[in-house]
Amino acid sequence: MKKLILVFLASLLSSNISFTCWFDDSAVHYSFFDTEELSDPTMILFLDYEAGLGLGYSEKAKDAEDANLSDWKKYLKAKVSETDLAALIYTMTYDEIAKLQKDRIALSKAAAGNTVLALWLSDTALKKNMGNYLLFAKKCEEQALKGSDYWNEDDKKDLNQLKKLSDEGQKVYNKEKDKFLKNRYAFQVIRAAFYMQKNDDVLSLFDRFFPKGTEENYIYFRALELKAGVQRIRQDDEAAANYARVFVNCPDRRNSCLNSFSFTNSDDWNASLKLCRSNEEKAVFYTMRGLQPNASMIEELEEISAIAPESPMMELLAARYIRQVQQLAFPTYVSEAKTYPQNDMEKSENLRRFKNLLKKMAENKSIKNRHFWSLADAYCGLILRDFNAANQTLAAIPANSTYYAQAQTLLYVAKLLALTNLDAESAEKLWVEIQENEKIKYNETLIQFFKDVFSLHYQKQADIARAYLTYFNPYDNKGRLDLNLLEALEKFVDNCNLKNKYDAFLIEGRYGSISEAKNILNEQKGVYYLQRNMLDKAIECFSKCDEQHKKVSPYFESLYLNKSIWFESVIHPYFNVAIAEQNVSFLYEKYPELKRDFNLLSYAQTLKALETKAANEPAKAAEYYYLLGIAWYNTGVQGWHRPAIYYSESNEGNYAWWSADDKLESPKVFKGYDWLSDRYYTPDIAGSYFEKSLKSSGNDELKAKALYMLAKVEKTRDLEQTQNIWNDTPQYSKRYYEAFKDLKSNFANTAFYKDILRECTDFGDYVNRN
Amino acid sequence: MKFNSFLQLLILGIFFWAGCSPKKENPAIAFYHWKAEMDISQAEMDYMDSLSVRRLYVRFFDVLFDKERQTAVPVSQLDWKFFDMGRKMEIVPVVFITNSCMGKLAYPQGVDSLAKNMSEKLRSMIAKLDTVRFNVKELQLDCDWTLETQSNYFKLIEDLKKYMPEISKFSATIRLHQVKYFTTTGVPPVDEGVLMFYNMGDIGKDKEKNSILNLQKAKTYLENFDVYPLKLDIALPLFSWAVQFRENKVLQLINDLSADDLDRDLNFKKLEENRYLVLNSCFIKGIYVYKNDQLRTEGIKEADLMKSVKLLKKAFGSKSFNLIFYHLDDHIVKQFKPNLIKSLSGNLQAKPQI
Repeated sequence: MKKLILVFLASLLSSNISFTCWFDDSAVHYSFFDTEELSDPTMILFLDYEAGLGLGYSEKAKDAEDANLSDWKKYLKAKVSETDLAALIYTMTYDEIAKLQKDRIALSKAAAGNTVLALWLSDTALKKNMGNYLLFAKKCEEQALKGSDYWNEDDKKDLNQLKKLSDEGQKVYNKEKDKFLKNRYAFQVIRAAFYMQKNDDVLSLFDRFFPKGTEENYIYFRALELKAGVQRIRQDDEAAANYARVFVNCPDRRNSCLNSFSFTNSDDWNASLKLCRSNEEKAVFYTMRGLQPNASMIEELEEISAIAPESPMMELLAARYIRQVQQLAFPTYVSEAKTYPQNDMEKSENLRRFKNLLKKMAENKSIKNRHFWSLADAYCGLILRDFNAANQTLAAIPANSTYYAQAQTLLYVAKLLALTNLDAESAEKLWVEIQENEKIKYNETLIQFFKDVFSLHYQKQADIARAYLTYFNPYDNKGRLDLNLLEALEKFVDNCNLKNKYDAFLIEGRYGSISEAKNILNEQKGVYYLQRNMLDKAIECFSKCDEQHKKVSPYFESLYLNKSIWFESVIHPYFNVAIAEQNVSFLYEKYPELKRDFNLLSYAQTLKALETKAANEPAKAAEYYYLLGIAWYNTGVQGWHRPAIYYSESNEGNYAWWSADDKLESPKVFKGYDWLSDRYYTPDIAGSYFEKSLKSSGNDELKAKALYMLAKVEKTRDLEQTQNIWNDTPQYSKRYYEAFKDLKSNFANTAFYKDILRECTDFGDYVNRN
Repeated sequence: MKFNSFLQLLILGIFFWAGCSPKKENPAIAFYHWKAEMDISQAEMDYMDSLSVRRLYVRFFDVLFDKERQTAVPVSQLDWKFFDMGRKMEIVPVVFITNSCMGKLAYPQGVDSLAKNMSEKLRSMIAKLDTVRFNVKELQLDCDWTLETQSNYFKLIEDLKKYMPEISKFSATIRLHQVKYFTTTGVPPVDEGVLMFYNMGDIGKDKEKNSILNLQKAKTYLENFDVYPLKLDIALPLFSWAVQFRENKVLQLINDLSADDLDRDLNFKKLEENRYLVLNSCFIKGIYVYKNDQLRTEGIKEADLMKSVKLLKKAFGSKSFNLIFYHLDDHIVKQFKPNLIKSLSGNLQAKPQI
């Protein structure tokens, strides 16, 4: 066993790149098979076992039976509770135990609430002998715990103290008559030698204290683990076989054993395997290999099934493999409009091989937990698209089985997977079933999966409206409007069949009614056109919304439209002032003919009116264009009123910051759709108005303002750069620098110039550098 | 007077000569040591000696997230056995932190606590070094951070600076994409960076020939080096590995496994150049591979290293950089002659400005 080393060490050193192909926490997937429903609950923690990183955590996992306490209980031959034993052995301090030994009054009091101490009260010899051992064990434990603080370099075992404990232990061992306690002292002495790295002593002490023929109980296996540790260091073939024996016999030492033995060559493997005393121990060898990263669990399962099919490790490895399979077959993200199972799992030869093994296990009458294997067999059958056989297997799982509820879920999953075309009738049938079947109607995972499958089918059938409404409410993606989608939704609303229960859900469940659907779609189309400055079309769409909708829709009657949208955001005095308090709606006071309804329609009409005024009144055109530029800047990505026409979220009613990092968290089934990629914004609209204002103005103050605002608009052209706080040397567009240059060269005498030099850091920096 | 004039002329001449043909030293060569044991062989020491290596970047430990304890833990701690060059060497401790660990730490307490633990452990480990033979001025962190973990990682660096004032220079490894897209990925708050010029290909892609050094791919990333805010040195690869596939999916990397190893072993069948089929399940380089798995071997050619340096020189423009080779190993010492390493470094020397 020349190259026997710690497996986790080897794997960590073998690569500096982590490839968590299978067990990536971030790979979210649907899970229809409860892998924690194992017949041996002590195996559950090994479902997440990763070499060197310990076990996972599971609510369902019962702690492995505390074999140490069971051993004590057996020794005491009396009715004592494990809780009381645990309190004495694990919780009480050295001083507390010493006091109970010496102070009879204290013992009497404590014995009232502890069944073990009650025994001490009646059995003085037990109190003395057991107490003495526990006091010795407490001292040993102190050393055993040293060195477990990974971060503390000074946390080391005290060799002198260990030597003293070893000597003391050997003396007591020689005197002790009680066989149970004698073996306990023996274990402590061997462990002290192990910690002192006296490897010869560990082996000789083991042979002396536990000669052949010794009863192989808990403490024997604990000592054997230490012997295996030395054998591992000495590259002895027997080490792994001994670890396997400990693994089988001591559930609480399994993790430690797994982390301790592994192989790096076939000769060592074969030599060690031969030394195993039972098939169950050999099964541990295959399990250990099957638990390594990237192992082929199927091959290891086949090996175990040939020698120990009833081993609880069979279920463990099978459940781990099913986790891998369902992660690949049912990811919650998909890369293309292809229905489940994903990743071509139905073509996997390994999965077919695995299914054959599952079937054999399910048919093996000597196996106790056959429903586990039937369920697993059916599940893999579904993934391989063998629906008839899978449905038959699932239907045969009786209602009193632990696996019945899962079988019912899988029967519904089978129906979803078997869909080739989602016609109106099938959709209605499946919808009604998931609404009404008590066994599945509360299964959130299944409901989500239903949405994914339906959406993918509708997309495949180019029915984007139903795909969208299966997933979203009307305003879920309000910030990212797409004309094709809106028109598809309009068409669906016009042609849907409300007698079909699924279509009825899509209209009534999502919109409320056909008329409200039309109102919302007209509003959203209007916003789409408004965002693009297509005012006539926007006005036409908004005009189609009925009066009731205009009154109740918070988006139509926006808070942001009624006050400061015309505010010149040159300097920052209003930064901390709520919009409602910013009474700068001077435009409406100055031009009473403009509409003052403060909703999307009136806003679009106002923009249109200003355009018309600019065209018809050349003397004031510069002023109108400037105001239009201001409005577009304010509703732009860094404007204070973006929610007015972009459906952005507000920032506590003050101003809306549009973050470059603000990516939409949407279902991945819609990945690749333009309307989910980004929000629409172009600085060109505001920019063009400031350019027009600049060209048509004869007033230096207004020109200076237009130039400055033009630079501000240009700054929004590359928002990722603008908002990057780490970027000390941002580069803006050519027009940005030209505007500042023009401002500095030709408008330094204006009052506005002096204002911004004082208030604007960007401009101040520019002037200082140039 | 005559003598003085001659002296003045001589001094002027020296200045003139020095100004016209500056004698520049080749960029420094250093290595990474990325093993569990610091037990440097004589061959490795001779190799470093012949290359006048003065600095060794040594992985001290890795930091992973322990699921059971729900906390960051150090693993694979360096076991310092033997290293004596007979002269003083600068040791740069390197700590590798997994990105998933960074992502799982609570901000700011979890990060601060990790920084405190790391600083104390590093200080203890550094204190054990023989000060006659080694000195430590710099600390390097290696983490492939993402946008999600950036704030945690950058805070960890800031916290380490706070807890380890005795360290005069902090550096961090930088991936190619982190330079090209630095305005998005951010720049770690360190004094210098080391660009890892390897692991750049698409490991999972069937047609990928060499994911360690794929110069076509590298070219698409060589942007923004002139404006990148940190001084960068370059880490070049001197290693090989095999990529293990099962049913066309990548499973893992097997380090130091070359085509030669597989050609000699009857358990493997060569399918095409650098591509092998596993005929019988067996152990190879300590890893158990299964029947029907496939392996793609990848390594480094001298010519590719030369091309890499040329590409980098162009990308860096007037900026200079040193070379660090990943990683020091007996196998590497045999495969890559010192002259190659010297010539790579020599290629970086600026042409005299006459």
